Amino acid sequence: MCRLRNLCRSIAAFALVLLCLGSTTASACRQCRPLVQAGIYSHDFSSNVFVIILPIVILVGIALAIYFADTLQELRTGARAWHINFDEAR
Amino acid sequence: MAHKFRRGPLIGAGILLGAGLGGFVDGIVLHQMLQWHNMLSARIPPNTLIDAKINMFWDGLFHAGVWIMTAMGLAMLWRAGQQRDVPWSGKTFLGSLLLGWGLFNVIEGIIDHQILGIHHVHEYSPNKLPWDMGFLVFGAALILSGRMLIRAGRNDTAPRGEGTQPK
Repeated sequence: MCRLRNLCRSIAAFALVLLCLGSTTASACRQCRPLVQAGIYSHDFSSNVFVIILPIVILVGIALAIYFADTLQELRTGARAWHINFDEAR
Repeated sequence: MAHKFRRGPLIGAGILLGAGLGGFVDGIVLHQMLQWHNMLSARIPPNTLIDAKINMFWDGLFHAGVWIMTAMGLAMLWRAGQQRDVPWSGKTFLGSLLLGWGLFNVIEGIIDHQILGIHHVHEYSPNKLPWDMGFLVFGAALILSGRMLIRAGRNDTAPRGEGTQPK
């Protein structure tokens, strides 16, 4: 679990670096560069990021829920069993 | 003692890989080769070089997102392969890939095309709705075929590497 988390963190960091590098490619055209940057980093920037990432976040959430479904189920069952044993012991 | 198998890790990894690869199909075929739409082409029509380059940036963000999904799916598949209680079923994995691609089409189609309207499948068609509906129907067909394949693989119990033992 810890290794997967570290791997995901590394992937996210690498993707962030790629994203930052990617944003500099908007400067490829010297003449239109200020207009392109103004168009990208407008007041709609945050909402545009949100709407583009939203389906991806939902899909990752669904896949992670299925991936860890059995583990979560076991944890829940284990916790319930622990409560039952605790109550019986009392 | 009956051994309990867990199919969740393989299905979860397959869904992310399928969604990521499906996203790349969308980006490569519909955005770049056919040039039917861009991520924000309904809000910022790419009629000038500047607007085309602005759309190119948002397409890049979309591609970064689907790249992250693919990489995460690969990491999850690697981890699933190390677990003895995860059956290594080709049908389950292929079904999960199709399910992931279908989920991508349906979720992206409903959110981006129908609810938010940031782009449509064929932006330059006079009637956009049939293309958007076709995209959703194709996604639903992928989900159904993926589900059928996952069901067909529910009795597979071979762990990874079984049948290819070194002599």
